Amino acid sequence: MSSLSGSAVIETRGLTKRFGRVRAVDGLDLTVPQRSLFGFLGPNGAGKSTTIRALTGLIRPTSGEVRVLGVPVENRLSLGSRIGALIEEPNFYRHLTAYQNLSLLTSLSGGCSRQEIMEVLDTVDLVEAANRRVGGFSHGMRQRLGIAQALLPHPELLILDEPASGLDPQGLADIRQLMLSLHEQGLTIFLSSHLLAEVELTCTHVAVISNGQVVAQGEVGGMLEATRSGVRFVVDNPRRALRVLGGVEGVEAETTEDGKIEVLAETLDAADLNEMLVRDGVRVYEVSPMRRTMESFYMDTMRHPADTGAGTQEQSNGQDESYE
Amino acid sequence: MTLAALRGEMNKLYRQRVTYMSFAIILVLVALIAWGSHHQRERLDVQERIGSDFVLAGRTITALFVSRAVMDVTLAVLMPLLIAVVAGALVAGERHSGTLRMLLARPVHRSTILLAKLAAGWSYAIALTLFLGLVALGLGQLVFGWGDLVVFRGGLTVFEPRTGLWRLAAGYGLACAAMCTVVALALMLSVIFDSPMAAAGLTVAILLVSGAVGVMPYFEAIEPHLLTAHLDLYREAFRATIDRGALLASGAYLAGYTLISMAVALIVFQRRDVTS
Repeated sequence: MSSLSGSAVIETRGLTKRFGRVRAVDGLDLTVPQRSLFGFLGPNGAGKSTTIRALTGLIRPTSGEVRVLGVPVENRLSLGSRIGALIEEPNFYRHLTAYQNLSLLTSLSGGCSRQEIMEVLDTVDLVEAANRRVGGFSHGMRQRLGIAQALLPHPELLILDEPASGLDPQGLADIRQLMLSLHEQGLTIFLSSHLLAEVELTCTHVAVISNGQVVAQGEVGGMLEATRSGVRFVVDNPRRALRVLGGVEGVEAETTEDGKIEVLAETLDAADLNEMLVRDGVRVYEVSPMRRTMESFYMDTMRHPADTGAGTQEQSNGQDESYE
Repeated sequence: MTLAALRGEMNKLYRQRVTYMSFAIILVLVALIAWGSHHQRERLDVQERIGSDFVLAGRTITALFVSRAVMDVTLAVLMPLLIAVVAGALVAGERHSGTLRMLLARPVHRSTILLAKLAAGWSYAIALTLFLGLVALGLGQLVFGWGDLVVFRGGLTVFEPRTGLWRLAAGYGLACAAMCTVVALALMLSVIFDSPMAAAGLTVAILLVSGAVGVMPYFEAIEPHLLTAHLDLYREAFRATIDRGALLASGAYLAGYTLISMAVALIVFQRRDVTS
């Protein structure tokens, strides 16, 4: 367990939380850089919510260190309103209006003017529902109100646990735009999500946890960039193409179910491979780069967590790398 | 921040309809008592209760009498029950509905939140108790009119209206103190248990068991230390001569129960993980 550097917005070292005999989080080392939009991924029960609860002071870690904005989490009250959080499904006082709920919650963070509250309600497109009781809100409206309360008064760090859970496509797009816009404004956003495509579209950094431990973390670009170039060929004779490419050192080729050839090469690029195929009489109809997706990266990481290691910027090098 | 927390708790409590159900129940109950007493005035005649050796002249059932009488009817079980339902939900209800994590994720001391909840619960207990007294006084005045306060307990005591009113005010003040202790007990159980119904139910169960134990000769030695032995300290206000020693002792017991309940509540609330 290395010591905390103090430069990151969120840093945990050896964070462990036990519930009875169960280790919900087990020696978690996490580093969230400043001004990042940080995706926090993992299967159900991996320890994501427990980690977020530890970051927000809702639970006490069994052991380990946690710093948020450079302050030990035990002293998080000194951070005042610098953190905004939405933890799991947002639950509000159903008998109060949206405005009253926000006013009540923000009063505990130093308070906000009516104008500030209305501006944030406008940001999440709830101005017209400001004076309606939350009991009558749809799931999507409550979700947006949850984000609104996290945005008040003026946080530097936003911790969002499944903010897009259960939203329709338009709602998802709205939340995505909001995340990107807030990030552009300079906020650091820590985003726990199961929506891998959304994370890929929005996040700059990502960490994957499994069984309470980080199995991969780093910049999204680096994560998705394969160490070897991947190329997909559509050819007239896949068997022949496979024979041609199979004999080249440093090249791995295989046919897909739909008859395409997928190739991973350490040194050669698509033009070299194409030339070799054509020279051997294979007609090439299509050449396209294989793009690694967050989903494929995540699935690989879950299948082979040891290949990716923990606590570092990692790229999976295994045979099972999958692409889209 | 403390004021903000208190204002927030007050807003939550007094902006929900369910809070006023207790007031409606009290109103209906007192109205029924006044109405029933009016129609059976003959049979309620206090002459029967003091025997044939004495003769009472004038009205015995008055507004002050009704306001005093409803205390015996409600303060042992009904009022603690109504108060426990609200106070038992102060923390457990929020935990159950998921709003507690929104609250505690804010930069505010948990002790501040809990003390604000206690203050809101106390305000509710005091408001309900005073409402009981005022409604009984109002309806009593309407049905029976003004007059002396006649008290039958360990003999017959008659207070002239002015003194009777002061005694009544003192009695309700002491009842408020007792009901505030019930709030503290319910709040402690609300912190410990996840279900608001469990917290409220257990509060009432503790009072009932304590009351039952208190009347059993076998437990005579512990009876003076039980909470229920002191919840009726309001009766001291209606003695011909107030026993200050007994009043102070009961007050100390109530304060002790309140402090212990709140100390336990604070320790548990500070340490407990919010996982729901």
